[in-house]
Amino acid sequence: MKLLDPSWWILGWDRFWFAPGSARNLAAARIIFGVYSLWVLLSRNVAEMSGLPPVFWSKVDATALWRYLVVPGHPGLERVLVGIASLALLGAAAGILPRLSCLVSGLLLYHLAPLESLIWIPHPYARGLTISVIALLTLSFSRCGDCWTLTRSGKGNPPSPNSDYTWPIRLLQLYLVQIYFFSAYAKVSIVGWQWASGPNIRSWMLWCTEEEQIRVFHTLGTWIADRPLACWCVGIGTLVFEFGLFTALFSKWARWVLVPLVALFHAGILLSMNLVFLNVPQLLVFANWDVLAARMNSLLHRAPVERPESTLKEARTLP
Amino acid sequence: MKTNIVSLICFIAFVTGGLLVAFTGAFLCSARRRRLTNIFLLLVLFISFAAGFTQHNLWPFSSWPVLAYPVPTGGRYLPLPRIMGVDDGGREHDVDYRAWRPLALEELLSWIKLNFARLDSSSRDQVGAYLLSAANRAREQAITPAGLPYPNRLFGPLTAPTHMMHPAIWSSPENVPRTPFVELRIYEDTWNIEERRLDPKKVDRVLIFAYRPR
Repeated sequence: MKLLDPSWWILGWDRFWFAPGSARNLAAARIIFGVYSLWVLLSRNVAEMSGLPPVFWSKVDATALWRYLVVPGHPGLERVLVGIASLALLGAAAGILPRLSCLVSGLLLYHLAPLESLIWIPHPYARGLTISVIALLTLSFSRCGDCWTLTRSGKGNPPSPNSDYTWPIRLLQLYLVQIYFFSAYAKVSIVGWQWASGPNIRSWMLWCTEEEQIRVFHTLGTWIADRPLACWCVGIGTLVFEFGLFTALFSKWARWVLVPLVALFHAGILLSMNLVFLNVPQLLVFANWDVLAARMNSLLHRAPVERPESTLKEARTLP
Repeated sequence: MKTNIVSLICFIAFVTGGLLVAFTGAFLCSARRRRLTNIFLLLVLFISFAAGFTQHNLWPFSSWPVLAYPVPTGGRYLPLPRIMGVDDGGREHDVDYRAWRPLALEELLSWIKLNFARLDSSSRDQVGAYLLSAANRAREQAITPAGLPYPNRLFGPLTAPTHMMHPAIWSSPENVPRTPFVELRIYEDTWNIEERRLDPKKVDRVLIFAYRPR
């Protein structure tokens, strides 16, 4: 009956998005996304993509170009934009004009990231910068510069817990679990539940280990392919895990168990199917940075962990 | 086209809503500020869940259709392009994936699969000339002691890999062809995964394009 009561939903909504949260968690998210996005951006040659011969761009829909304000044939300009985006990401990570840096880098990544694949597909998901765009923009809309910055205002003790620090972190966590949830949903809605069947997983493993152009690791993939029970376990386990990760938003237990398992999950995919998923470090936004900072502090000063009451309070709330 | 327009509208709505929350917050009382934040949160939830549940990719709000298609179990997988360099002795060689930079190999192969057949012959020759010159340039770099560079020299081996792994077949100089390529060929490979499990060489290869400078 509780479910039919609107006040129960409103209370739950408020508790989820606006429980008092720590400024450290938001600052840590800013640093994580700044460093991670800089790493991926500088690992790519997005500016040079603009300088490809015009024939490569000849079949690109005009609306796709307009959507990202991409005008092919200007690698010099794109190089300048990559430089500005890199500086902004450094600023975001270091906390120099943090909100402005997040806004500028988020908007520039919206323009730059699609260059990687725009010649054939207008949505560059799974290439490493999808979540960065919306995460950096979300951070720019929030008070992400109240702590852990190089400027004077962000040094010293963090401000007291506030609901303004909670909803942005919750959004970032939501973006991340949506990857897995919709990945499972897409498998079920496009292929059906038989996606998880042993024969389908065996086919995937074989294809990924037989295709010489992506075949770097092959032992684990062929080992799984040769064992029907292992194939069924991988298939069912994948769907259960991908759907189940959504619970990490609501349950501390799920966060403790499932979020670390994501790294193992992707290591398994890499070793068996030769597919890389770069976003794993972003899952650090699920960590409680108050507790981690206190532990780090005690290690550095070789003193027993002293947790002020406010920190304990924060640890109980978020993330 | 529709998806591009809708995606752009969603992105603009997201940025506008966020900026409103960020900049008007200071001028509003806490109740109004909370209401505005709630509207923004509902907007983000609506866009992101709409992208996922309708499976329309409204990037950067993605539908994440990762591996969401079946691999044919008994039959053959869709043909996959494979680019080969040919030396003056007529021998064919695979080309290291790093040769195609700035193009990632998976982007290049997907572009060929989707668009190459739709190009006229002069455009195809332009592609052939570009790829042949890139392959030869990379071959020359690969036989030097420094080898083929990483996209970012600063990061070196810590450079972020692409979504698909690729073997670095020209990592050791002895694996690099000694003489320049004089021709570029694009094949389409197809195979039955069960047959190839037993015999790795069981691949059907069809030549779809060859380019030799005149």
